[in-house]
Formats: sequence, structure tokens, C-alpha cells
Amino acid sequence: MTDTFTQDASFNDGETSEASRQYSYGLMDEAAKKEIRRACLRAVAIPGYQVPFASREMPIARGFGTGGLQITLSIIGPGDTLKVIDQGSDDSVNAVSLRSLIEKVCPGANTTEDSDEATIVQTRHRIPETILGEHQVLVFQVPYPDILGGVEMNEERRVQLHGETDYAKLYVALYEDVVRNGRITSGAGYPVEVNRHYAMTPSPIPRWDVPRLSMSHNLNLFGAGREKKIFAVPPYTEVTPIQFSDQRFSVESFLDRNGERIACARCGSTGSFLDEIYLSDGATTFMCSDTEYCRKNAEIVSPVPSGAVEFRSPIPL
Amino acid sequence: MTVFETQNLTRFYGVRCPRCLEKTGAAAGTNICPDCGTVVALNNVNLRVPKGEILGVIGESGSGKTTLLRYLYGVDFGATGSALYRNPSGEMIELGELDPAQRRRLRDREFGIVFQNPHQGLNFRISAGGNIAERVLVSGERNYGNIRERATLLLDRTGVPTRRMDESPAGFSGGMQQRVQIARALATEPCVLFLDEVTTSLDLSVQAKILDLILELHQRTRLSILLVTHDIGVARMLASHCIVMRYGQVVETGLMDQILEDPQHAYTQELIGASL
Repeated sequence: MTDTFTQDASFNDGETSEASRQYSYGLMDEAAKKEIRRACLRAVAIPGYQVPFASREMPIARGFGTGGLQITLSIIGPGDTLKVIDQGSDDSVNAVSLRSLIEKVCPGANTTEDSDEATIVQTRHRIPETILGEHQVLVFQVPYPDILGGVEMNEERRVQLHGETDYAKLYVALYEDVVRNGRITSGAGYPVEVNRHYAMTPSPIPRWDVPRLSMSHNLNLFGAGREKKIFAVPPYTEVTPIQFSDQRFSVESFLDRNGERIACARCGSTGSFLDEIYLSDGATTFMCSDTEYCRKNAEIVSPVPSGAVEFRSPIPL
Repeated sequence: MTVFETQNLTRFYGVRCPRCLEKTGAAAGTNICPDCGTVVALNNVNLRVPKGEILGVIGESGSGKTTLLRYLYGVDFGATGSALYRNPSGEMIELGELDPAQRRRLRDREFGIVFQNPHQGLNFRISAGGNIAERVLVSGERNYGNIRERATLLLDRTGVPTRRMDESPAGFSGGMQQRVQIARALATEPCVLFLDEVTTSLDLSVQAKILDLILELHQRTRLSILLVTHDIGVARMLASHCIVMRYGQVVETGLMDQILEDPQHAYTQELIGASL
């Protein structure tokens, strides 16, 4: 990722080379990428603070991951290895499309499905089960960057609340949740406090992933293209969920009726985040949401553990 | 001992010219400068709010009562002159020197406010208990059980049925909404309470109950209260001290009884004559 930013800024699009089919490396011009990298640096310097940036037009619609895409395109270079996941899956439409787009506009950058191999992982709504290292960057696609959006409509007021670290309203929302439901029900996008200062949305990752943001070895960059904001959780930064001292944050437990931890139907893992999958006969089963982790795990555990069902696509292919 | 002391507090809205102050005020019969059109909302206001007492601020609409309250409460920053506040530990603080975050801290921890319109003071999208919880939370309490207990206690003390604490105040009667506002204002045990026309939109019997509640709370807690009202009857019932404002100026100041018995200024005489 280093020393590749100043290279020759254009390339030919394979064999159909015409002057009109030329793109800059990483689709954006160098100045645009530099601006985004500067926003990222500022975000790293002030963990959890939402840095405004000039979100560019992308060849995909806003809301389809343009924030994450722009960050990835700004930091990627030849020699980098990219993994793209959508809800833990390497094979979903969003992940496949983004990956092939980046492959096309970033020659020299490799792609992979292996979390260990990747130098950059772009993700929508999950953190890979494999623990990332210091040499890796996790790029999140964020729909709504401001955690206060749900409790304060006026953006000017929200900026003020962040500035004064006045987060009573987030706790009030939590209070109301407990009053209504008897416990904290907030699922994805659980509010967190970064570095004991700014309140932040971890993007809609499940509660399962929230503790894994804290003191992570890797850099976490969050890009919201539609809302034009970038924020970051640098390595080894404390991320604490917002909670009451007697109503604690907890991760999804995945217990069955007998109170036992449900195992992935494919790889048998009992230590991963599970998706509930509807089978064609109407029954449901649980499988790892992280498909790459699941596949690797299944290979190690193989032969297929007894009682596990064979992998079937949830939708007819 | 005073909790607030202002000196030549002045607030302009507009371009202002050198003659704004002399061309407006009670004697001039206007608060709009005839030369430049500037509104002089406060014109050299000097007042003292005695500690533990209720100071009534009486005056007609547009006399500057609410501007005065907004400045002292800390949501308006544009006034010139001096306004000193004595905090619970006895230090005198010049309000004009505080930054917005410090003023918010004062509002959150040491002041409480009750507005005429409950929509201003309460969030109708959350429960009555939640409205009180918000104030308890800014004081740093992070235990759900304690917050809930405190909200229940406050609602009970202000006469709101606690079984309704999980409902939105939108479904409450006007009087009950005011009670929730008062409970919210008291949540952090403030040392100053600002009351802005609290009973104006209520019918007479409910007014009387709210006034009783305020008096009872004042007797128990001895907090200082700045009571803004255009209703001299309300001031008479609650306040021990009083100032009368007109066109941005204080025209009369003294003990409540004294002003009622022996009003000096023509406007005060008129006001008392009209109400009795």
C-alpha cells in the first residue's frame, strides 16, 4: 500500500484499448484520492470523529457501498490483496460486483477470499471471524454515520452534542428500550464510545462483532458515501458499548431450546456468528455468516460432522 | 446573599446606534429605537435574586422578561453588562465569560426550567419517565435501577400517578404535563429554578394546584426561583421579592407586599389597579 500512490496515474483497459476507455488508477484522480486519504488520517487522529469529505460520483449508486469503495480505491495499490465481503459472504452480489469493479480499475492489485492473505478487507455489516493483524485494513461500508441521527433530527444540534460529548439522549433511548422490552433489544449498529470520547455507530455490524472492534490489531476505516463522512477506529483503541451498570450489553448467544450453543450446520463451529437459513422444506438451520471462515473450518474438521446437513443455497440457483 | 446579580445588563436585537439606549425605555414609551429600528430588549437591567427566595419578574408582553430569563438561564449569549451567578460553593461566576459548554453544564446541573408550553420542555416521543431519566443521566448516573427509582420518586413528589410514567406525556392533561416538567427540572436537585409563565395556559383550579406544588417544593428545598409572569396574581401568591419591567427597563423593584400596597411607578399602579 505504501509508495505506490505517486505512480503513473492511468492505464489501458485490457485489449479494448481506446483513448476514451482510459481510467485513472483506482477510478478517481490523484487529487481526489489524496483528499480521501487526508480525511482518513484525520479520522485516525481523532478516533470516532466523523470527518466530512467530498464524496465522489461512483459507477454504483449511493447507498451501495460508495463510502467504503472510495476509501478502498484511495488506499489500494499494486501488490495489495483485497477481500470484499457482504454480510460475511464473499459471493453475494454486492461483494462480487465491488470486487470485479476494483479488479478492473486497479491493475496489479490481487483479490482473494482468504482473510489471512488480504491486506485490505472491504466489508458490509460484518467483521471477518478470522482475527485481522496489524498489516491489514478493514474498510466498512456505512449507511448512516451518525449514531445521534436516531435521537436528534437537527444536524447542527448533533454536531454540538458530539462537541460537548453530551450523550444523555443515547442513554435515554436505551432506557426507553428497557422500559418497553425489559432488556436491551438493539441489534445491529449498537452505539459505542470510542477512546472514551466520541459516540459512534459501528456501522450495522451485529452485536457479536462489537467487542471485536475494541483493541483490534488492524486499522478500521468507515466510509459513508451518501452522507459524505469518514471515521476510524485505529488499532489498539478502546471501543466500549453504551450500557447501564445493571443492564449490560451482551452479544448474541445462539442458544437452542435446551440452552446449548447452536453449532454451524456445515462446519460445526460453536464460536462464530450464525445466520438462520430457511431451507426449501420450510425448516430452518444455522450456518456461519462468514462463508470463508466456515469453508476453512469445514476442511479442517472434515469429514462433515454427524448431524450436519450438506450445504445448500438458501435460494434456488 | 444573592444568587444572581446583574449590572447594566443590555440586549440589542439589530444594528444599534449610539442613541438607542436613551431613545427607548419606559419613559420613551417604546423599546424600538426610532433612529435605527433596533429592538432594545433589555435596557440597563439591574437586579438581585436573593438566595432561597422567589423573585417575581412582572411585565407585559415584550417588556423583556423572557429575554432576561433566557440570558440568565444560559441559552442566549448576546447581552452586554455584567451578570454574576453564585454557585453552590459560593464562588461568583460572571456568566458572560463562560463558553457554551460551561453554560450547558450550569443548565444541566445547577439550573432547572419550566416553560409555559410543555412542548418546549418535554420530548413527547419518549415516556414521561424517559424525560426525567434524561436529566438524571446528565448528572452521570448510569444505573438503570437507580434512574428508574429517582424518576418514580420525582413523579410521585410532583403528583403524577407513577403507573403512567411509561406513557408519553402527549396523552397527559395540561396540568399533568406541567407537573412532569417540574419533576424533570428538579431531577438534578438544582439550586435555581426558572419558571416561565408556568400557569398561563392552565385553568384556574389547575393553576392553584400547580402554584401550591411550587410553594410546597420551595418550602421544602429552599431553592432560589426566578418567576417570570404577566399575571400579578401568580406573583403575589408565590414571590417574596419582585421587579416590574417595561420596555426593557426595570421600573420598580422591592418586596412583593410593598409594591402591592404602595406602587410608585405609574405603570405599576395601573397594573395593580387593573388586576384587583
